[in-house]
Amino acid sequence: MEARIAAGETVPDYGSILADFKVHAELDRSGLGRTIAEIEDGGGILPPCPPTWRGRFGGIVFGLSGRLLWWIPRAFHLRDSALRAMYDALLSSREEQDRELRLLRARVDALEAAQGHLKNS
Amino acid sequence: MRIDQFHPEIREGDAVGNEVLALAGMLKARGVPSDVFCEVADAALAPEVRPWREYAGGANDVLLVHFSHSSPVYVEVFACRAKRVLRYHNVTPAHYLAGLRKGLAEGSEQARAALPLYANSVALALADSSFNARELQAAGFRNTVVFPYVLNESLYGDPHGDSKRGGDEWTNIISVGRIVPQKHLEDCLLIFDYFRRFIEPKSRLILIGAWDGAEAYLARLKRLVARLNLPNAIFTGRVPQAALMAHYNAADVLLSMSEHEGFCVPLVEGMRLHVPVIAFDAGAVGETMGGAGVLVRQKRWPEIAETIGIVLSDRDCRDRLIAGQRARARFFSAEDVEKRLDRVLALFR
Repeated sequence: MEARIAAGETVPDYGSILADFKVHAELDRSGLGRTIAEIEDGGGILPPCPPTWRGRFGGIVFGLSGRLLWWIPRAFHLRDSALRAMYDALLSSREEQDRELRLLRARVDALEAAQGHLKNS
Repeated sequence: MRIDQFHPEIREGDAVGNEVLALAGMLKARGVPSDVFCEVADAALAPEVRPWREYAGGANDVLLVHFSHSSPVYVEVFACRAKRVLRYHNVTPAHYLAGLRKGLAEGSEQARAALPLYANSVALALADSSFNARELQAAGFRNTVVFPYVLNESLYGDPHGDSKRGGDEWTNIISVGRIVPQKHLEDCLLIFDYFRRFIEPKSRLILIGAWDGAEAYLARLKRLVARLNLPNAIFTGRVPQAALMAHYNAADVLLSMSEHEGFCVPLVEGMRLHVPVIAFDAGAVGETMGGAGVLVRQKRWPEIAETIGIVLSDRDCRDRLIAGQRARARFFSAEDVEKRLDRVLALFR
C-alpha cells in the first residue's frame, strides 16, 4: 500500500469540520434535531395491498379517502418544510456565530501576544 | 445453593445478555443450579430465561443482579431473600444522551441516582473493570471486586492465524458498537476521510451497530458523511451474530474512538478474532487492551490514519500486534474466567 497524495491536495481543516459538527450537536440538545430525524425517517406511506378482493377494495377505499382529505398530507408537508427551513436557518446562523467567535479568539490571541512582546521590549 | 441471575432485558447480540447467558452456561457446567430471570427477552431467547415474577430464591441462594440501566423492578430485586451480588456494567452518563429519544437521558440519571441506594443491599459488587470498580466505590459500595467481562465463547468459534479471512481486495476499517454520541464516530469519519484521501482510496469504513433512540445523532453523522463525501462509509444498523462474525472476518482494522467505556467488549472480540485494534484511551479502554493493540492518547486524525496505514502495510508490525492481542485475549478465555469464578463462588460456600 502506498500513499497517493495528489499534487496540490491539502489536508482538510478537520478541527473546523469537527467544530461545525459540535455546533449541530448543541442545537440538537433542544430536541429539534430529533424531530427532524424522525421526519426524515419517513413513515405514513400506504403499504402495498394484498392481492385479494378485500385487500384491493381496502386499497381503493384508502386511496379515495386520501384524495378526499387531500389537504391533510399537504398540511403535514408544509409543517415539515417549515421545521426543516427553521432548522437549516438556525444551523447556518450557529455556524456563522462560531466562525466569528473563532476569528475574534484568534484576534484576541494575536493582540495578547503583541502586548506581551511590547512589555518585554 | 443456587446462583441465579437477573437483568431487566435479555436481548440477542447485547453485551450484557451475552455475558448473562455465558455465566449461566458456566455455572450449570459446574453443577450449580442456575436460572436467568428478566422482565423482557427476545423471542429467540425465551427458552433460556424465566420471568422475574417466578423467582423464589431462599436465604442460602445467591442472586447475581446485572446493572446497566434503570428499571423500577430493581427495588423488588434488591429486597429479595437471597444474598445479592451486584454485577456493574456501567451506565452511560446522561450528558451524552441529551437531545436523543425522550427518556434516555432521564433513564440514565435515574439509574445513576439509584445506584448508591443499593450499596447496603448487596453482599458483594463485581465490576468488569477497575474503572467501573471506582464508580462503585464512589457510589458507596464497600466490598467491590474486579471480575472481567465473561465472553460468550460459543459465539465466536475458533480464530484463524491471520486477521483477514474474507471479503474482497478493499481495505475494511470497522467500528463495532451502538451508534451513540459517547462513541465519537465523527472522529472515525474524519480519520477515514484522511485514510481514503491520502493512503488507500479503495477502502471502506463500516460502522456496525444499532441506533435505536439515537436517530438525531445518526442524522448528524450522515450530514458529516455528505459534507466529506464519503460514499464508502456504511452504517449497517443492528446485525445478527453471523453477520457480525462475517464483518470481523473481512476486517483489516477495528477502530474505536469512544470516550466513555466501562469495559468495551468489541475490543476483546477484535483481539480474540485477530483483527488489529486501534483505540482511543478513555474510561476502561486502556485496561481492557492491557498493553495489546494500539492505544492512542490524542485525537490527531491524520496521525491515526497514518498508523492504520503502517499496521496494514508493515507485515511484521501487524504480526507482532496480532500476537500481542492473542496473548491478551487469553486473559478473557473460558479457562481463566473459570478460575476467577471459583474464587468468587468460594466466598459464598
